[in-house]
Amino acid sequence: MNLDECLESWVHEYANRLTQIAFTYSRDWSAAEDITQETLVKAHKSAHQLTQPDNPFPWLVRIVINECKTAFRRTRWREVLTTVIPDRMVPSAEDVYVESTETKEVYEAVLLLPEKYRTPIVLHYFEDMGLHEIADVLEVNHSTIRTRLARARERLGKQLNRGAAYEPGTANPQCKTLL
Amino acid sequence: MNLEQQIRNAKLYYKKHHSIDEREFTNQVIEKLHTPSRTPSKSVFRYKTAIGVGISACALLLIGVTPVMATAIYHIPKDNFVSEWFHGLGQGTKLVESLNTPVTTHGITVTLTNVLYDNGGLNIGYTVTPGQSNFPYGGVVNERSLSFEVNGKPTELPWAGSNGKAGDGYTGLIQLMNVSQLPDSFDLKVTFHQIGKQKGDWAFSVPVSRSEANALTKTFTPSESHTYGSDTVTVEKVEVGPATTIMDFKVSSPQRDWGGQASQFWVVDDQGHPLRSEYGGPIGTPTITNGIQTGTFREVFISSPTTPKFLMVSAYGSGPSPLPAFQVPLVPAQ
Repeated sequence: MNLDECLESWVHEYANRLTQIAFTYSRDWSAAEDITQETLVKAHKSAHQLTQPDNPFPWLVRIVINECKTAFRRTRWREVLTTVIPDRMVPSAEDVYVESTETKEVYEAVLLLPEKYRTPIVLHYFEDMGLHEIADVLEVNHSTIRTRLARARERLGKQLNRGAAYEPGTANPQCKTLL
Repeated sequence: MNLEQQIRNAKLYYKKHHSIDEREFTNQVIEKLHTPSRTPSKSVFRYKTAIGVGISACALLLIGVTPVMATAIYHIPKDNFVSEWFHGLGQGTKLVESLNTPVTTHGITVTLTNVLYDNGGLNIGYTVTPGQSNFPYGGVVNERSLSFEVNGKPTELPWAGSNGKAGDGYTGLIQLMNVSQLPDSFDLKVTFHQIGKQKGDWAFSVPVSRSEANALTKTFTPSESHTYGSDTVTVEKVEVGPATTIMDFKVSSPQRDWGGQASQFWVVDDQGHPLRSEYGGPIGTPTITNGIQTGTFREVFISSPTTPKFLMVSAYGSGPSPLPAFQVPLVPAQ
């Protein structure tokens, strides 16, 4: 497969997923698409650095996260705006279950997590990536990812008024099911 | 339902709210791939491409080189990255100071090559040899790998970085953005803590000053307003410096989804030349009072070669096309 075919295949296979990850940083679909496009341009130019051609997704995720962080550093004000007016999702009526208040609340609670907790949750639960894979992408130890996931769940639990089950410093029963 | 299951269910919400138009998306990627120069985009988020791409584009656009020549230039190590970034502005003047201070740790040599400091930012050029492979950005820096001291005091400074491959290493730019609170002259200590996977300390002390730039900066207060529907945009102040042009503006609108507010701008000088945004978009803080959302923003652009008599400013709302442009006269205060 030549580079241009590679690019087409990446767009087909991964562009939506990368855009969804970028959205968790930018909270703006147009920005998320731009970031993903830049990611694919960079990936195309750095294709020689791809060490696992059969599974380029983690490598692409690493680039998209770096792009998001770079963009975020330059547009700090956007987070302020997003915090002021958090409700940007307008659910359709297609799927009552998916659009249920609870599902939406959990999703939005995930978006409100600090980046170091949010990204592992997104990659693990929404992108079905394993702990080691996430650790590689974020360039941290896999035990750090495990800790961050546990703390993210604690915070989510509190945010969703389930704080009693996840007091800081106590074992999180959900960890066992995950790990 | 337990929390674990709730998070898993939220994936359905995550997955279904947006899907790209694959054909259009591919075309846009290909366009970006083959047209590295900066063009207005529908995105409200803008950011610089990697420096290698940017510099190559500038070379192509400014001196009309062929793609073959551009490829060759791309691989030549740059020794004055800062003034290249600023399209040659300040080259050969005190604005861009040459440093060339190498520090070698663990066999990796980092050299600070140049610095340019003005009200728009503090820009530091550097090279790294040999380059570190298997990193999207060549492994030069990430957000945790730099720290700064101002006159010996550790200081958190927001920064942006760009870099690209050159020769057997990488060359890049560190840009400190919010410099308004910094002294006009001070001793800056920059320490790189990690390059690629190699941890270590590459520390540099650099005296920096923006006195020269300040002396050459002209300030205009046009207070020019333009109304788009229910949004009012006011360009309050424009500072035209030798390297950067700073535009302070205010946007007020009824409180609503901020994505629809006009707060991104495409600015063209009196010769029809677009001004490139330095940091990919404005920085500022919105406030909401009595249902009115007011944002006070600052955007930094690379200056035109000569001080323009006016700027044409086009705002972007939620759509891909700019709203009608309005003229902002730059008339010196009496």
